[in-house]
Amino acid sequence: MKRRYLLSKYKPLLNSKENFKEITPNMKNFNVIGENFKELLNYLFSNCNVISFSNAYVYEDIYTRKLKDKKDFNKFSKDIEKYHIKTFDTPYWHCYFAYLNENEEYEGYIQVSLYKATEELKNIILEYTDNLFFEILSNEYNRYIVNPKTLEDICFFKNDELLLGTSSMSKSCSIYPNTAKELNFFKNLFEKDSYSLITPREIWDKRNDYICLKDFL
Amino acid sequence: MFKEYRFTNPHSIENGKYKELLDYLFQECDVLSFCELGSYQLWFQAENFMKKIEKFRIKSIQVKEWHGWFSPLITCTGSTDFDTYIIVHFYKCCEELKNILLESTTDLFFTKYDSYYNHTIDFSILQDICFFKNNKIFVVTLTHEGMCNFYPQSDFDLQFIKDMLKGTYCEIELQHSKSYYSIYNYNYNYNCIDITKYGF
Repeated sequence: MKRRYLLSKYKPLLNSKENFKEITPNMKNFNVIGENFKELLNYLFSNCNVISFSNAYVYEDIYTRKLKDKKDFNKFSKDIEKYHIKTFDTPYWHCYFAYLNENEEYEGYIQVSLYKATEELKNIILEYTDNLFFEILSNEYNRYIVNPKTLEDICFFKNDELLLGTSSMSKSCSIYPNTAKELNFFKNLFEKDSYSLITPREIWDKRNDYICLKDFL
Repeated sequence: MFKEYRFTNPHSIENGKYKELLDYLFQECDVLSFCELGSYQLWFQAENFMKKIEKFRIKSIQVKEWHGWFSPLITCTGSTDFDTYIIVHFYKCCEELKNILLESTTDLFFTKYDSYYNHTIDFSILQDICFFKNNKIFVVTLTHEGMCNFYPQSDFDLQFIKDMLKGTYCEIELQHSKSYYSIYNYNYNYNCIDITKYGF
């Protein structure tokens, strides 16, 4: 049975009867950065065959509250164009669902691009960024902030099935492992960063943001 | 009987009025709290602010419900499947903390000015500030709803609120200490918080 594991800064309440529990606050900006990001990419690129980036049609930068300028995507997109498989519009994706209007039509499509997961692509990504949400270090705020000049929402697919999905906007990272071995790898990796995986319920239909590539191709 | 005073125009509390309110609250209250959401990582951008006020922190707890927050309905993606939780940080009310707040904020909801959207929530500061007097809730705010409620514990408190708000509040009599009212199908609950059950 497949489950969704959501990366979190805090471990959830262990006992459902407990009303409260004292914790130590985690003051880190939520992200997977540096060496751990490298290790994560190494693992994902050796296991997955397809990766995806997305680009919502109506989208504003949550931090600066300004609409993104699409021209800025060009450089990174051009660099990785060699590995491009397909681009399509869809009303739903990992962590994204378009609203239905009065006429039962979807409003707000998301554009998704699929790329072949190769060693070269991994190296380009590592040159380009050092963190999972493709953020940039801001001198003004002295921390990582949303980068308005990039593709985002990197998702990894293993045999057409989503293995790791991210949403840069909501800063969420979900893992859908098939085996206990896979799960252990992620658990150990994220524990190094003092993050933990929380387990929601089983995946059922298209809920829990699980997607399968065969539904789109 | 339990009385709740709901500000009908809480955004009007800024600058001079805000300072006046903070002066009063820091003088009367012993504990204040901020809130973080367990699975909404967007709100975890306040690390610099948290480090700055770390020395005043009493404790941090994980709870399933808090004023305005009810965990099973809150998720990072809009689905209702997760068992999430709310993180509450408690801090000691002292002059230094008040000065830090006055330096970095101008109103009760910690908004910042942006040329594009005018006033937006400042994600670099923690949200939902609540004040406790004698371990009981005194003032609660719910930043994203623009909500602020007052629970006076003495006639003096009541007089202060009435003078300060001058008609921009409504008085609600609650039958029980816990009231449930619905906004957008959420159960907004937990109006009367007594922190003695969290080990105070």
